[in-house]
Amino acid sequence: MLIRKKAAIAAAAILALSATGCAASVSAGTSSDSSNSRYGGTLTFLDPVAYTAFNVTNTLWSNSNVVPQLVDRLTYQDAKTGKIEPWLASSWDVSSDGLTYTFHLRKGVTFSDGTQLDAQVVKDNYDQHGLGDKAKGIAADSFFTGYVKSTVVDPSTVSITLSKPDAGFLQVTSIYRSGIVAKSTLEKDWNAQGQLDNLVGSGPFKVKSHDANNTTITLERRDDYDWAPQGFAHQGKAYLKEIVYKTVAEDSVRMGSVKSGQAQIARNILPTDEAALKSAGITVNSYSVQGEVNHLGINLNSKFVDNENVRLALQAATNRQELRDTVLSDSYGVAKSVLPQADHNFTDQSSYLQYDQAKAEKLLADAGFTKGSDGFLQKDGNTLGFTIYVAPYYQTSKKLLQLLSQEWGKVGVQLTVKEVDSGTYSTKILSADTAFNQTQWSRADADVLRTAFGSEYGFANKVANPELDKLLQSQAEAGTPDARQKIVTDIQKYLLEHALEIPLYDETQVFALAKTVNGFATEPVARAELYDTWLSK
Amino acid sequence: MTSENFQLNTAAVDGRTIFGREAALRALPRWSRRLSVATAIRVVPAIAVLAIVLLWAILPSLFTAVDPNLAVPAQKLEAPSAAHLFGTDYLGRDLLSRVIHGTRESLTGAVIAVAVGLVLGSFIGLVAGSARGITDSLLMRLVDVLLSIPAFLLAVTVVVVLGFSTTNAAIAVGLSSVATFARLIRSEVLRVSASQYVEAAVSGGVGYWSILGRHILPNSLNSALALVALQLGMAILWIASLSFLGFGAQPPNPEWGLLVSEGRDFLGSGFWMTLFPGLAIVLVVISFNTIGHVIREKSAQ
Repeated sequence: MLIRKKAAIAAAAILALSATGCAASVSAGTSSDSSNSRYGGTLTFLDPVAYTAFNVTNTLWSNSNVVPQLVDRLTYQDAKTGKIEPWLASSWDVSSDGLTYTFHLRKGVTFSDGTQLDAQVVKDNYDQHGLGDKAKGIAADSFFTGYVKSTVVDPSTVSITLSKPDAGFLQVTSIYRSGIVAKSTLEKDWNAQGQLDNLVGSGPFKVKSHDANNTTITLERRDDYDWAPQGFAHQGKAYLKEIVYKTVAEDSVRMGSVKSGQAQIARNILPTDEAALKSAGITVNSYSVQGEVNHLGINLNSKFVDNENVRLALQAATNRQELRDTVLSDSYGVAKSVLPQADHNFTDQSSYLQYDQAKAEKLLADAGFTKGSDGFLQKDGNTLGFTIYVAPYYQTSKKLLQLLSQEWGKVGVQLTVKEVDSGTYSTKILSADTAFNQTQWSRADADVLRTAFGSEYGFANKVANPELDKLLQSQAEAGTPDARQKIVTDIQKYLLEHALEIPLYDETQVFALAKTVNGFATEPVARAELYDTWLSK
Repeated sequence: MTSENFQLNTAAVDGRTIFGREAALRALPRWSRRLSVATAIRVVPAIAVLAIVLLWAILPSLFTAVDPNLAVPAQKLEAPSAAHLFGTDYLGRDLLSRVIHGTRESLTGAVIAVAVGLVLGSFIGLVAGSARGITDSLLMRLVDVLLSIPAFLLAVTVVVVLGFSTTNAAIAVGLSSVATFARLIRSEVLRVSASQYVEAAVSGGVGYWSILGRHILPNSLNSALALVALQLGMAILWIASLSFLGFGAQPPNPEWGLLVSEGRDFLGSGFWMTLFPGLAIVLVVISFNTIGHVIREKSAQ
């Protein structure tokens, strides 16, 4: 689970971007284009982050912008509405107790190695997620908590049994990290599954070639692809003939390549580069990442923050508007809850998140802190100070934390910003000496809060909280969407009322698109979905 | 009159009017009169740069009243102007103030680095050069091994072990220059040991440690001076490089390398964030190098 948490954090990473709510796909071209002319061409996609293992469950930003082109999922989630629609499963039934899901599979679907999609291979996929496979070195997937078994009913019907109701389960079947892979992939052990050549899916593209370190990866279209979900803008094979992914770490080189036409898409645009790109005629699109907002997680075992008044004071001392305006750009939303505004379960809780220096000072004075000679507050000879580590996953982290340090300094709280290597970082954030760490989990379902805060899951606060656990569990078991929405609203309120995290901004991905790019879209957590993308000649 | 080895004859000057270059040379302190004009042209600006930078390091508040860490978000990314001579950075901090206040950190780091290299290197060189035999062989092979590791790589490795800070970066850079100093001091010790006054001291019955301390060490250190100046320049560059990579100074510390690193994201929108700290590094390094070269040339004459 720790591993998964790290992967999720990594996912949240390097990008800092975001927009206020346009998670949706861009419409594909105008009707005046004859759609035949859309087919063909090679698109070059630049990513700053090196590619790592290609296990489908790897949520690292760079990898997860490749994998959605290679694998299909049982269901499709509409990025705008959050609605779950058919994909590889043409329909499904849920038992009245919410414990059994029966999927009826689409017929005629093949993997890129020629094998057929059937109930057995779906069962094998889900068994590996839900139960793990010790012999192959595969751990059970925390997204599949409560998974009991899959049963092959007939070659095109598979039923899945859970141990307790999980309102978020159907959404899990739509995520790219639950992508269905072929038997040949499943038979390999964990390490071998991470090799790109071994990743065989039923997606609209397949791997054509890659270099030894995966710094250049070429995908080619599958001309026989004919099972796109209705939510996509067209059917049949994809428009692009080939996609070339390249790792280009240097921001200025990525920008320059798109400007000069050497590449068509660059991911992870710095807030400060957006204006320059726009004035050069490049399209800059931002996509809000559904899941949690980018925030400071709090370890309640740490000094001072076990006191709720201290946490509430820091909440009030955080000037989110100033952070957004100074360090980020208009592409990013100011956090108004623990969920981003683009999330379909979001409710506006900004009353808890108002910047109020006087309130912060009063709360700290009430908590018994007095001003010391160095200008910082203290109690019993201890300075009210914290050390925070620059999160290696967010390009803007160092800048943002320095400004935050000044904001907190105004009310007498000392925040020391330190930068360490990523290995040291992952051990530091687990230590009880580290009260705060900048983090975010992506997942287009409110169940992300259970995954992050539940004591059996991410356990963000590191201190048992039965009341919160109960709320988190009850949203997963809620009978109707309305009942669930009500509980999810209560959870958002609860987390902020007790200041169990300090929201910062809506996590966002910003892409630069050359003028020739049409129909670019992302899935709900802002990973590129290039099936509908085409290049104008 | 050629500019080479031009020496002012003070006797000839007496009793007649002097002007122009002669007057300028006369105004210089006595030691520099023995410098050629070409050398003076190189040395004077270098000394001027270092003098200013030294003052920045000692008394930064004399040159700027602005707090280097005060962020004024409303003034972020302002181009150089009368109010902010070097412009402002991405949080609205005054860059001139940051460059000035960053000087102390950079210079102190360089001095620590060179001190570490000089002290440890001299000790090893002195012991090897005076003990000879198996001790010499062992120590020099150790130095060979050190020299075979790329020095910057060694510095990065050391700083990762020690932890990230300017002082640790300085120690790391110092450790990776130990071998250079050891080699130089050893060869000097060998040279000095063969000189007549050492032989005289030996035949006069002076003890080993006295000869080492009174005769060999002071005379060997003379030639280390040029290397010290060169190493100071190099240390500034390396410490800045380590900070640039995130191994050295921690934010919001205005160390020069860190300033360049922070400015890198803004090359398109705020060139001054890299230009001015970069210029400071370049000028100081060139100044140290110039002085190092001049000392070497002078001592070779």
